Amino acid sequence: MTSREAAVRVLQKTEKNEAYANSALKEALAKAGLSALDNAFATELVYGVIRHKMRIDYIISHYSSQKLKNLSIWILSILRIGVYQLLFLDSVPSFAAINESVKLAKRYGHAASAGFVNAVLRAVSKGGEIKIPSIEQYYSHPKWLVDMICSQYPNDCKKILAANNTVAPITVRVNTLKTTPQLLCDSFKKSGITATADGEIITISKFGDLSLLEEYKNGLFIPQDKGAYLAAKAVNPKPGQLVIDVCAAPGGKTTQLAQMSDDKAKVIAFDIHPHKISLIERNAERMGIGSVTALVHDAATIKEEYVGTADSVLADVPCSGLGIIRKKPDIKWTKSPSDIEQIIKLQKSILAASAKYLKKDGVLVYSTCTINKHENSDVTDDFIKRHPFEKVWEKQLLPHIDNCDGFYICKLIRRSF
Amino acid sequence: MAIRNILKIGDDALNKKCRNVAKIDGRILTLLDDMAETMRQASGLGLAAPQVGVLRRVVVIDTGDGLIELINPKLTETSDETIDDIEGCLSVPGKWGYVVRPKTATVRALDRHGKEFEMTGEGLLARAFCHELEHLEGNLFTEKVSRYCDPDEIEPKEGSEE
Repeated sequence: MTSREAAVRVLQKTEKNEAYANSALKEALAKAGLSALDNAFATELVYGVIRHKMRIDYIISHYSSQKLKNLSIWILSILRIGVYQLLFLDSVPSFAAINESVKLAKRYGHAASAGFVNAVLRAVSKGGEIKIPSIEQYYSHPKWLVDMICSQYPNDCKKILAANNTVAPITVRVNTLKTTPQLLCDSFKKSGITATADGEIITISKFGDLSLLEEYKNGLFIPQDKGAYLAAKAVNPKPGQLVIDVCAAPGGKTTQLAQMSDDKAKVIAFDIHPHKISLIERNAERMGIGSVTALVHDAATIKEEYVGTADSVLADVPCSGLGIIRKKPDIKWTKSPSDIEQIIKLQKSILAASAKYLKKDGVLVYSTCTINKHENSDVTDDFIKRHPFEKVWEKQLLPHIDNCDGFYICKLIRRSF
Repeated sequence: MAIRNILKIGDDALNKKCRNVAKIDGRILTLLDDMAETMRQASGLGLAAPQVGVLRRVVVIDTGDGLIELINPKLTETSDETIDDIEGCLSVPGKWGYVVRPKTATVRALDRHGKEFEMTGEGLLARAFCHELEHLEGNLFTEKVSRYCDPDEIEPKEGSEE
């Protein structure tokens, strides 16, 4: 199987909503057994097409004699990777982009489809970029999402949409219990990986599965975004304190909480999925952390034994993920406004339950990886209306400003005299 | 009982030294009741009389273990061991800062029946004693804040580190 074929297989799966792009891609690449370079190319095609899907489709429909909805998902996916290579990638010669798509069309369609793919892609190659009429199509975001972002961020709307279509840097957090940012950077550089440290967050050039690195196996780092890092940092647990991370898997923030207390706090990590508990435990063990206890628990309900016991609670709640579109572009096509309504209810229940674990002077940190104000400041505003807490501060990180995921972080306490 | 208006920073009454209560009469008892209700309504953990514009040495506190009423309170002992932690003030809305306070503090005061008592608080209660007694001297916590609490605490801006 070629990298293009692998990409088309993943794209038709995600188009049929059979799988998320990241898991379908992982599976396809494992089966295909391609070189690292080909893996990178397949990944580029899959994510590139998902990122720019509406724009690519507009271009296809402009040059195509047939309506898009009459095309099979296979042929459509083959056309999409073709257009993506022709118009978005400088490194692929036009003839290669066209010929390889035609070959795939022969394989996954019939003789006529190959001719059709050939005709459309030749026309695109010759005609080039065309004027894209709407902001939704230009930035490839569904209308409801464009409307939401533009109403909530009228001054930054286009910048946010454009940033969502960029590729996020790959970042990891240094395990300061085992090493230092400087030493870890040096170690990466020895293996030919470019590494730049910003405090405890290191941006690296490595593509692919980070868990294969020696540094990973030795527990010297954990993959983590800077936004997530800052959310856990707001908790600031001290040695001897009890801190609860109510939606903890895979444990990036959990291990950070342990690390910040020099592994001397008691960190309780809840997650609703039993199979994710071992993920948290494995991460803690790999990193040499002993202060974490992971338990299966639904954060929207109250675990009685911890009521009134915690010095701090981190509620990094499930969310729409609209702050991580750079990393998971399929969020644009899989989430809907009604999903978000449901998730807001869950966020409110989790925050209310989380508050119960605190001692009277405890610190509560609420965070999400979305830029949607309805899931962020609206949820915390609603919470402080109903509970005796106040916002110490809140912050919305934005990819185009902060160069990290679009995290929202709010620190809440009840300590006014 | 009535909810009283909590004065905000900038109001002169917050900078004045308060007088002792000479006689615990009906007005003082009403003041105590109103202050407790005002504190609860504002989700506060403590309130001093000058915060409602009464320049008398009267304080109410409830850090979660029930209402404490203090008339003419004095700090009699504070620990050398301190805690640097966040606090806020109902008279300074929206501002939070780190203040170093003794880990334990003992106050001597009169209760509403005029009976003298002594009480030792640890952690949050010690912090409440110190914060409220400063109000009676006309001082606000803002004078003691070492650093304000804002998003910079997780990511100091370049050049702004003190």
